[in-house]
Amino acid sequence: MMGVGSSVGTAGRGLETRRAPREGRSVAVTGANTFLGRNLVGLLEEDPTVARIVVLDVKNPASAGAKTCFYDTDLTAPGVDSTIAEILHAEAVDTVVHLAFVASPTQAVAWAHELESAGTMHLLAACRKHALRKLVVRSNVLVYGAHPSNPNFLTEEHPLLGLPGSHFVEDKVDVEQQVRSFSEERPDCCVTVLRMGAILGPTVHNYVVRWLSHRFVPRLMGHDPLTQFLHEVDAVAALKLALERDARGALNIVGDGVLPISTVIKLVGRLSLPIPAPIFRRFASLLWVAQLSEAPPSFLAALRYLCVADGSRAYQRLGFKPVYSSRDAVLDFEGALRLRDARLLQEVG
Amino acid sequence: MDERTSRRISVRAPAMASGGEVPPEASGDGVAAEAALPRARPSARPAARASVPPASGAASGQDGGLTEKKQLGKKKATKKKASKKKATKKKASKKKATKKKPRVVVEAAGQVLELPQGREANAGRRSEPPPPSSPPPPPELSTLLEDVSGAESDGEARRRAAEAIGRIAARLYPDAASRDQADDRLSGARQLLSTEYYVRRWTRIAMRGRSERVDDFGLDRAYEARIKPLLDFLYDHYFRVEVDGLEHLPEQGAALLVCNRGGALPWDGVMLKTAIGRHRGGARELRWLVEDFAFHAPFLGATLNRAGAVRACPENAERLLARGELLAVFPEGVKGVEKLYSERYQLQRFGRGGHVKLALRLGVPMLPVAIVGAEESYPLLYRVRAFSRALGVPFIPVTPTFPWLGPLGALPLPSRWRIRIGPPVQDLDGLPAETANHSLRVNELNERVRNQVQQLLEGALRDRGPGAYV
Repeated sequence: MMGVGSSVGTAGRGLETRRAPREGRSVAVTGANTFLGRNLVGLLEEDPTVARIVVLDVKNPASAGAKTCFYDTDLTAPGVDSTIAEILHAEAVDTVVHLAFVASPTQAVAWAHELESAGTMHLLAACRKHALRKLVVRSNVLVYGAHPSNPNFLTEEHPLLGLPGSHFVEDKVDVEQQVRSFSEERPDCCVTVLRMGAILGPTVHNYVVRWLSHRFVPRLMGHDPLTQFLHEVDAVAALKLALERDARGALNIVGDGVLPISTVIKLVGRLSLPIPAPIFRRFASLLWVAQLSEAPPSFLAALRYLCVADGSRAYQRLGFKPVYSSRDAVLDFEGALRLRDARLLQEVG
Repeated sequence: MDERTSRRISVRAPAMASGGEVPPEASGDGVAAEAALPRARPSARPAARASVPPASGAASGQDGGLTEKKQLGKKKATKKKASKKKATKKKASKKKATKKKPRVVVEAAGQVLELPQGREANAGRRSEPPPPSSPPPPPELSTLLEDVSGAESDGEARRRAAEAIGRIAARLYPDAASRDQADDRLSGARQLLSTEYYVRRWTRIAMRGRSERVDDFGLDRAYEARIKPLLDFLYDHYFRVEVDGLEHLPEQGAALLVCNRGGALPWDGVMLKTAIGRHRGGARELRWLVEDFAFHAPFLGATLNRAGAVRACPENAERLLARGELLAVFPEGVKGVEKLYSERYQLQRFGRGGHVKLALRLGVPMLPVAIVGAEESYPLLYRVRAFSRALGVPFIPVTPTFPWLGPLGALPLPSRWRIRIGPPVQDLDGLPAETANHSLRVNELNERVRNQVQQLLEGALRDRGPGAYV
């Protein structure tokens, strides 16, 4: 993950940045142990304009360095909001990056709800008491949902319909609504919501990666919607850009270009397993209950309908231009996957 | 001395999976050796290092490299011995010196053996003299050089050389060689047994006719090229399409083509695309919008999308027109599909005027288009509404062929087609973009456009003549 950090990099960093500067920004990061959090902390450690990194998590990330102050904070604990408010005040935090979200659909629906909805509620309550300058929240392109009525490119104005029946997405929609009302209450605070596409890359782990790692990748027979992917490096770069530049509102952070699902599976070097929709629906719920699949049956809509976002606003407002296109991200992931397979073979043999 | 060095099998040490490239520093040595050449070899070139064929080991790619790595250490010693032998085998190879043969680079067990041939012989050669005292060579070595230089092709020579080296190695180090061979066999078998191998093969086969890239709206150029013969057959011989008015298409820039909709399956858009694709050598290409039930139908939707169709919605239309595409819309939508045979070529309500608003807002010209024949390709006799919701279609059509012949009924009847493209609608000219917000005005304009398409349709219908199918 240091590799990601150094490749994103910041211009003009020198040896003097080893010492933590006296003045500079103080950034609080929740969910610092997520993939994005870890990489962001690593990047901020090298950023001379950042004086302090305040980690609000249950564990200090491996990328934490001299600038990082770790506070053992469980966002799901009741009463944690006043604790966070105290920390924000004590550390004079001017920027909060909210990354405490589950990356994949989970069976622990109640816990995920507590973490995401209640956790955001707690965090925003603390932010309301504090003179915050900037809030960056990670969201997901899936908040638009995969619907038959979707246009080929969803813009930020599109209503957040979510995926019906998916707790994973519903919680994210709920978070977006909370954040929106917060930004309406606090016009002095620059609130940026980054709706990221499915992140793919050599080191990231999420349900998309697991889905594509199967020998036989299940998909819906006869349906081949276009998909898009965001490379992990671009995801981290977008977070960093959102910290550096002020762009208000929601932004779609996605890779350029689209690929049909069948092509993605072929590019990754896997076999696609087309299953007729009615059978798949039944099996998907069985497999999900048996914890054998990586996504609940509500995600079948994403295998059937388009959910592709338009990233042009992120370019206009944030200057974010993905380095990797969707295809590049898939190919990069394919290389890592092949390496993983080879290692596995070697271990077995 | 140079004769000897050029004949010798040189051993390059760190050549594991290097793809047979000569290391850059070797070229300097090559030039030095060149300087010492006698006049007898005028054809020798110093800069021949780029023409080294890939080594056999490198051809197998990453998978092979992995298994070979392990054996690197074991064979290193073997190879050094073999190279020492070389110096003494001057005689055996001398007669091959004048023959022009492909230069052979053998990569076996992680080391590269080069068998220089012909004029490239001493490019990239290291010119250190052979060791003065060398043990007697194993008998295979002479046959090796004999064999290799007698080979007809690169691959053949490489194979033979590899075999011979294997024999030498086996002779010198019987234990190690047998172990290695067992390893080789094992890894080969493992590679063949691994699903990876077959998956990759299949992937390559499955990607035939599909390109790895599609454009933003899902058009796949390779797929488009693959289905073109079928579309050409349908266009020329099945539907016998006649087209006029293509000159009204703008040479560049966006335009909105407003067409009548007919036929259960959207062949009309496909044929219009083919017609426009043939005009002016394919200078313009058409994107068209298809309604939801076709776009989301299993198989049909994905196929249409790869061929260039886009789901009908205002956002997509706007985006395509903003890109400067020719865009065909079928404002009748599903209502056009629902027309019974007796109602054919009577235009239904033209949506809610979304296309007119779009044309006004973006200031793109709007061309009426009449497609005659599509509505007779699936003569709808009756509409069954029962079960249609469960199947996700607006209704179950009853045609002379459809439910009766099963899937064969999905084939269109061979109606005779005539496509007529009218001149751009004049009524929109000079209207400000704000007109799009006046719904009354938009509806009025929409009605005018509809009348123009209807007129065009009747004209084209008359010109086609009485026979719809013959």
